Amino acid sequence: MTDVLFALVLLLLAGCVVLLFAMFGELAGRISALGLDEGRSVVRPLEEARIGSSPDYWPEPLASLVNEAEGSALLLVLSTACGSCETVARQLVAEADDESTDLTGIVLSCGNRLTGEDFVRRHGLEHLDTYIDEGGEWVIASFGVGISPAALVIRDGRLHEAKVFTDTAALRAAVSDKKEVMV
Amino acid sequence: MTADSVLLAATLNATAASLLFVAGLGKLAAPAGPLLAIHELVGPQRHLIRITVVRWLAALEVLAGLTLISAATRASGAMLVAGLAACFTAAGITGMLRNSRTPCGCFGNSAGHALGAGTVAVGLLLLLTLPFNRWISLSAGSAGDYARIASLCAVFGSLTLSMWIHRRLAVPLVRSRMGTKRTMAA
Repeated sequence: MTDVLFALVLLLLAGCVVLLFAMFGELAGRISALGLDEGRSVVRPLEEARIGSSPDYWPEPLASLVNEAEGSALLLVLSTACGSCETVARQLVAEADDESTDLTGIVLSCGNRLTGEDFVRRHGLEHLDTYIDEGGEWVIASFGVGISPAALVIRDGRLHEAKVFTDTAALRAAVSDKKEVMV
Repeated sequence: MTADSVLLAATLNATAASLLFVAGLGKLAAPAGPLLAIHELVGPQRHLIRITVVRWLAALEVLAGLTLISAATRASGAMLVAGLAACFTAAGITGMLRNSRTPCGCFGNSAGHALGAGTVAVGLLLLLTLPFNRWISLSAGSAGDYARIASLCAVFGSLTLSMWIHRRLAVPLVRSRMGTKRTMAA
């Protein structure tokens, strides 16, 4: 009986190691996708996003934001569990007076609502329209976006463009460059 | 009942259990990859499949693996494994037909292959656990030996498989350490 118990404990420990490996693998995949391992600010197309898709519903306050936007609205997908998102949140606070941020909303992916609300409060993001997306379910189901920080350009209620980024200034420059080309 | 059949049953079931453990725990750690792959398969009905479904599937895989470790539950566990294997095979065939390109993250590896021939192969291998466990019978006295051997083999199998899947992370660390040792020795 003791032997069997010992074997089961060993199995449990092995399970923890496997889980740890899987978490490291996921983390390494995200860092690599963002280009953070190259140590520079990155704005890159998000290939897995479903361009042209529109969600089944727009949660508040994003619904008002998208309706108000005559041109396009920018949604930033952040997560309470990602280190780069902390940096992006600080950058958003620093550019709070900038009028170009008026049509910017946040989809905050988090484990539960309390963690999300704490993130918003801690970083002073109350001035932006923020939807707290528990488990990131809405953004994954609507646009196929499971990575953060990501930026979604919404035009006429549909996903027009999706990017991964690490710096808001570089992101806005990339998005406005595109607009000029389109005009 | 010979010791050889206990060893054979424990080893083969532990191999299947290792696959299921690594797949289940991988999905629990990174459910977004499998969810995106499933969404690609189901198309317009994707709103019905939520991240909770992937988590339940992962929990079911771990449970199925655990049931194969005990002699008392291996027969019913083999049925559960066969059910899951049928789903994997069907998903693999659908992935092949629809030319799926999204990495399925089936083993927690978001840079892995899409649902396709590999998924079908794993599904068919796991399907074999059902006829195998029906065919092999163990005496009541060998249950302890079976559990001990199966758990140890499952520990070894799941750690080895996990290391293999994430070798991209492990190999550079080992290589750089070996390089450091050589430099120090010089």
